[in-house]
Amino acid sequence: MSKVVGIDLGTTFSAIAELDDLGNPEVLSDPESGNRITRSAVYFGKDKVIVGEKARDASITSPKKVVFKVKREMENEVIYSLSSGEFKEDDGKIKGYTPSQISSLILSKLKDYTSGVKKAVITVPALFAERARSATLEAAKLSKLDIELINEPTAAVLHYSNLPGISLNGRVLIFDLGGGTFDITIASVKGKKVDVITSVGDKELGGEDFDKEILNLLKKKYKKLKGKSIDVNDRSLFDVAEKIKKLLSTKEKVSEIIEGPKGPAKIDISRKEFESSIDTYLEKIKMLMEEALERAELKASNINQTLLVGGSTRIPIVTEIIKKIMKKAPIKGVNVDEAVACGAAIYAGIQNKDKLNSAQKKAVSKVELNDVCNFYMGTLIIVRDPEKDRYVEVNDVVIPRDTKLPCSITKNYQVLVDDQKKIDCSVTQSEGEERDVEFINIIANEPLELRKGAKQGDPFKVTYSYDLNGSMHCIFEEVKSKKKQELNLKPGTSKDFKELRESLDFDIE
Amino acid sequence: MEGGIVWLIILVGWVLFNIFGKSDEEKTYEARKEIFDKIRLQLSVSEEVPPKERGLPNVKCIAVKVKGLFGNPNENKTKVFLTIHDNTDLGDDEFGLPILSAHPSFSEPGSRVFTISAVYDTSPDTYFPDWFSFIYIPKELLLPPKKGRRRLKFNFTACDTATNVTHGAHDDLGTVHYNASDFYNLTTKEIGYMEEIANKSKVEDLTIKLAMCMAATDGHLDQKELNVIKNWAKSLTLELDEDKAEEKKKHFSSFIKKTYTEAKNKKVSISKLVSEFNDKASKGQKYLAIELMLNVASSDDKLAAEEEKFINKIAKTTGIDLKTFKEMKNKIVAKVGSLDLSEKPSEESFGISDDMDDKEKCKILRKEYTKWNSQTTQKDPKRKKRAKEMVKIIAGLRKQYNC
Repeated sequence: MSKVVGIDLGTTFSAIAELDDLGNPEVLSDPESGNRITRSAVYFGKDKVIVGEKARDASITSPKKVVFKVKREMENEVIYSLSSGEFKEDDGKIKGYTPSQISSLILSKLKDYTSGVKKAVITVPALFAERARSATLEAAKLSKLDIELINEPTAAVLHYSNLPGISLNGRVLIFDLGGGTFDITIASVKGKKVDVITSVGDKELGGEDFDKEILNLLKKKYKKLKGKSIDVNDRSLFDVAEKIKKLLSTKEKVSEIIEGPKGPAKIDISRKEFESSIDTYLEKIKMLMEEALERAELKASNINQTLLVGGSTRIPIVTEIIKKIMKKAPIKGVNVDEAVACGAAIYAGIQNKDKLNSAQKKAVSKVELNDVCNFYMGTLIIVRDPEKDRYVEVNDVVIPRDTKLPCSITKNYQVLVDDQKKIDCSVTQSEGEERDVEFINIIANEPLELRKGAKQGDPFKVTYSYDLNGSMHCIFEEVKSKKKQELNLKPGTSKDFKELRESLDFDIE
Repeated sequence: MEGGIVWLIILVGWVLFNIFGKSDEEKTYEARKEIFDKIRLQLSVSEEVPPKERGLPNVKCIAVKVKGLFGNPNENKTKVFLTIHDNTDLGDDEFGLPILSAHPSFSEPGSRVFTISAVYDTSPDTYFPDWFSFIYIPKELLLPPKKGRRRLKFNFTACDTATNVTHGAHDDLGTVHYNASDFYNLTTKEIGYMEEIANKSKVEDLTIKLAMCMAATDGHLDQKELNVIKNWAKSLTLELDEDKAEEKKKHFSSFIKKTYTEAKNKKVSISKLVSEFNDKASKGQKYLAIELMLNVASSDDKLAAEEEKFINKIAKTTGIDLKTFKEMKNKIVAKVGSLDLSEKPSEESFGISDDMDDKEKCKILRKEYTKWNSQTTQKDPKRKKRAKEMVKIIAGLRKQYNC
């Protein structure tokens, strides 16, 4: 029987979990190193690829051949160039690897921690854009996995609600600050039934950003002591910065010997200095917490518990901010690095009950999850702007954010002018309720030829149906002729899939 | 004396005849007339705050109410129309130029003339026994042909369902069964649509002059800025027929040259220019001018502080909606390649004013954060960079206000 697993494909670390024989989630270790979490780093050798801690080690000697933080590039059309050692815009000329190809190598490595894995649930940040979700699905397909996606904080709350001895009845706030992304989800939990109310997030806020700020502090201090700057792109310094950050979670001050162009220098960094260097990020965290409460139409006092997820929640100032805003300390009790993978394993079990034994089935039988749409999904229309006194193109929301899934919503429009030849059928996505076309992302766009002799005011219907897996089916219909343009936004695979697969003919270590 | 007595007898006789001498037919007619007067279709137009249940903003609107008979004697449905005409300097029975609507929901299909129509299921004796609130119209929705104090004639008609109204007039008066009118004095500061037509050429010139002066605020007028102005002027000739387009092009060519020299040498009185522009331009034209200035300002991929200041100033004096202006500016801010630190968006650009308390300011900044943060994943690296900068500025301001 093929196994089902949950995978947390993280910016800095990834993890894989499965349900044990009794239906409890269990994180799988790397059989070679014994590590339960795997560094999301990929080294491209001549004939082989190394994933994990060893890849990071290789970056000291061959920095250009090691890819870090590929998750942050998932929504971009870029290629990692091994010759320049960076992601570049894909102009068709650069030789290298796409983010989905690189992610697929991490997935393949994780998949090998156990045998017989065919089906998986992969977690993604709540605010991961459509392009990034597509790229994740492509990565899974490249690694021969049949997958479904679940939002990271949603997976985490599933894990928390299934912990033995914990009763989470009421509203909870899941605070997920990982290596590269930050998500907050507010959910209503009743036993093992989880109803997501809202999710907000920042795709570029996490431990990696804090490391960068420590690097800047090191650079400034080294220059002050020695008169010359250190190279902040030196990978070994990244490791030092990460180490300092971790130590500052328990110590007030850390001293490190830094090797630089003018020899070694002993540099002290205090917790206060570190906190002050990341204050912009801390402000963003506060804003997102406020936004989440406002979106859920709740006050801090209405939230029963704050649940922590992600390694960066170990930073003391982060916990202080949570305490200040929520007026209550958050729950600490699970391994924050593993909660997402465990939740994904539980969700994988719910979605694939036919592959579970009777004990596992019983364990997940009462688990229920209701999620919401994390974006405003809309379309572009032309309306007369009474203020500007002219026709303007605007974004009109079809599915509002936080609508319970699955959902199907129809909106009625009209043909604009007599003898109009076609309508551009656009599907848009935005985090905010935007009318302005400059501030939305167009995720699909196809024309629909109208019937001959279409008249101004003829009815035109737009229906969006969104399911739990993030697949959206959009129908644009000219009512009189019943002519339709259907856009399927089930995140698919690129046309050059075969080519992508062939170029990944590596041994993975 | 005798003559006087004769006249008195005649008068008394006439009165007695009138009292006792009317036929039954005449009496029935009078009674019917009295009833008809009571149920005759009437219209009342006044200023009123709409009741809460209407779900309209709590501001004074023009309340249009009807009372009396309107049932169609020919069909079991009645179509009613409300049209508005500018009757300033005209008699009550005449119909002046139609009023236009600022919103398509209140205009005739295919035109901007204000008309509201509705169809009711009726019998021939259907009537509104009491005053019925037909509609509450926000004053800003009405666009008269001229600015100032205008006497508006509101006309309510009950007709056959096949009846149509074109440019405020009924296609076939024979299908109109009942009609009622009332008047309302409206004062508008914005110029009217007839004035807009009359001022069109002048406003185009003033817009070019404004854009030219704005471009010159940083001390130089470069070719890129000039090209944006030239292209804008060229776009105005596209819909004209060949001869007129040629004539217009010639005019713009010499006007741009002349204005270029004046602006470069700082020989234009900005206050006079702005005052004339505000006096002659419609709201739509004001937005177009602001848009042109923003495009000119950003043509060199940079929004200079002096230019931004100039545009802010003009926007404030024009009386356009500052929220809409902020959105227009945001588009430009998102696109330009560089914003020097000295030119970072001020609190004002985010919609923060001095009279707000810190809590309010923090809330506005958070909303701005949501807007810009979602842009940090833009494909365009320039826009991505700008969005990240804006997020940083917002976070900095939040710290400043101890949010």
